[in-house]
Amino acid sequence: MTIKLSFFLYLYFAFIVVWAIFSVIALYHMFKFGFKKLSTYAVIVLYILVALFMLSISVYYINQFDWTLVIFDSSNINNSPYSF
Amino acid sequence: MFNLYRLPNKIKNEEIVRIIRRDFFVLFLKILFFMFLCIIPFGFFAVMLISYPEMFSSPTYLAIIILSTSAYYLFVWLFFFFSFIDYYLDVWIITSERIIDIQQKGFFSRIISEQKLFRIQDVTSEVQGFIPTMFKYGNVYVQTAGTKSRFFFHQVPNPDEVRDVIIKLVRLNQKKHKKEMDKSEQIAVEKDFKESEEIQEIMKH
Repeated sequence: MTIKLSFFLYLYFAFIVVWAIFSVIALYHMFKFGFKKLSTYAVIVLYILVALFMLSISVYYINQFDWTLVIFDSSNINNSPYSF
Repeated sequence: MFNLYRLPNKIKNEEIVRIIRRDFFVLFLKILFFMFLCIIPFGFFAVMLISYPEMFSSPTYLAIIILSTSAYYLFVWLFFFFSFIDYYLDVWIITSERIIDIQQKGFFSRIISEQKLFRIQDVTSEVQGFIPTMFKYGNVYVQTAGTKSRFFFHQVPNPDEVRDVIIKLVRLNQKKHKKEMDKSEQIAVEKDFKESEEIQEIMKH
């Protein structure tokens, strides 16, 4: 059994999906129940812009790694001269 | 979206007197807490750099650190937005005819109550604590005769002023309603008199 570094990347993607769902719920509430004022629209736009900024920085750094790296390989344990 | 200047079930000649939210200091405390959460990872990285400097040169550990940091900051930003929505969507509207209390209780839970001013019996303002006293925010309790016996204005700015405004509006509203009641009572009395005259006419014949 091998575990690649991409395992953590998939966990991260799962978190992003959940985070996006909650973001949509929060934005829905602002649109539905927020007051028809400039401040409401400003807050919504600010949230989206900062979130996109954070995601773009994350994507930039994520692209710099080799996610196919193997971090755990059970065959190495079995072939070890010290295994029982 | 909710138009603050187009009230639901608007009464004739009703005007908005005040729109009140919780004091800005409450939001400021949330912002401070959010900023503290943003600083925490730097402290953590400083400790890790001193204790385990080899972690930052290993691509495996570095990748995991990048992912967890990204997830952490995205979570904190979302959490702050939720907190802001909780502050922003709670509002009290005082009009010339009623008080409207709009409370967002988490998500998918919104409570809107209203009470006519002439039903208000008692208004109490309260400022407790050093920080509320310095920044002049507190609570206002409005006792009514309705099913919701007590309205609660929570952490509002200048609660004494809010109390004074409500009391003045209640007095004006009660005077207005007394005049209308006197007028309608007069009409009812006249109507009764007319009916009794008709009855007497009928009885004559």
